[in-house]
Amino acid sequence: MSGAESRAEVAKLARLLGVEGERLAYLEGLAPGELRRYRESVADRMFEGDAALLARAAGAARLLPARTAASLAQSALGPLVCARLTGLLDPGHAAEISEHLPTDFVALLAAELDPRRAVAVVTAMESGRVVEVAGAMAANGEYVAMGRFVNFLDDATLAGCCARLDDEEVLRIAFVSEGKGRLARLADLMGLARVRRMVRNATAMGLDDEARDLWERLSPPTRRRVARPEP
Amino acid sequence: MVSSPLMDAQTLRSTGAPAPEPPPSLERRRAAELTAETAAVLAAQRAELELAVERCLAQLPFPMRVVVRRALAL
Repeated sequence: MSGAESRAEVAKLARLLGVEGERLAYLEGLAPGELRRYRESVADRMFEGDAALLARAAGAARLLPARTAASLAQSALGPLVCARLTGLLDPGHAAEISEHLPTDFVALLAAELDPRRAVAVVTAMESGRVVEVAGAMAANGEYVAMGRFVNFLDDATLAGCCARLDDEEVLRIAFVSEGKGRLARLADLMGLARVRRMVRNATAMGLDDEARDLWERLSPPTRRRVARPEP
Repeated sequence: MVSSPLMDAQTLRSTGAPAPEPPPSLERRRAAELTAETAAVLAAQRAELELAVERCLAQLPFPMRVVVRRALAL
C-alpha cells in the first residue's frame, strides 16, 4: 500500500499548499513517512509562524460580541485567517461566533482548520451543525480537509456525517483520513451492507486503492462478514 | 499617536517562518522547487493575515477600534 499511501500524502500536502495534486506528482515516489513529516512541518510553520500576531488578534476577538466577531470574520478576516484564529479562541466563544456564521462560510473555514489545534472548538459544536458543514465541505470536494476531522468526531456525529455523504465521498475521505485507527469504527457505524456495497462498487467508481485501504483497516471478523454473500 | 494605513502595515509586519527543510531523499532540483513553492505559500498567507487585521480594524466603529488596537498592541 505504500504507493497508495504516498499518493494520499501528496494529496494532503497539495491541499495544505493550495496547489493542484498533479503539480506535486514528482513526490509520489517518496516514502509516506517522509512526506508526512514534511507536511506536518509546513502546517506547524503556517500555524506558528505568526503566533504572536494571531494570539493578539485572538485576544482582541474576546473583546467583541459574538455577532460582531462573526460579521468581521466574513467581511474582513476571511476563512483562512479565521481558521488560524479558531484554535486560539475560547472554545465556547468560538462556538458562539460560529452560530452567527452561514454554513457555507464555516465549511470554507473548516477546510483550512487544523483540528488538532482546535479540538475543543470542534467538539463544542452541535452535532447537527457539524453534519451540515460536512455536507457543504463535500459539495466543495474538500475530502482531504474532511479527513483531518475523522479522529475528532464522536460516534453519533461521525454516523450522521456518513449518512449525509455518498459512498464515493466516504471512500475518498477515508483514504486521506488522519484517523486511520478510526476507520474500523467508521465501518461499524455505516453497517455491513453499505461497506459491502462500497467495496464491490469501488472499481466502477475508480476507487480501488481507496477501497483496498478501507478493507485493510477492517478487523478480520468484519472482513469475513463483508466478504460473505449477501443474505 | 496618529495612525495611518502605512504605519499599520509596517507595524503589523510579522516575522513569519521560512519553509522547512525538504524531504532528504528528494533530488536537489525538486527540493529547491518544493522549498520555493512552500515559501511562496507561507509568505502569501502571512500577507493575507496582515491585510485581514488591517481590514478588520478599518471596519470597527471608532470606540471599539481604539480598544482593539490597544489589545493588538498597535
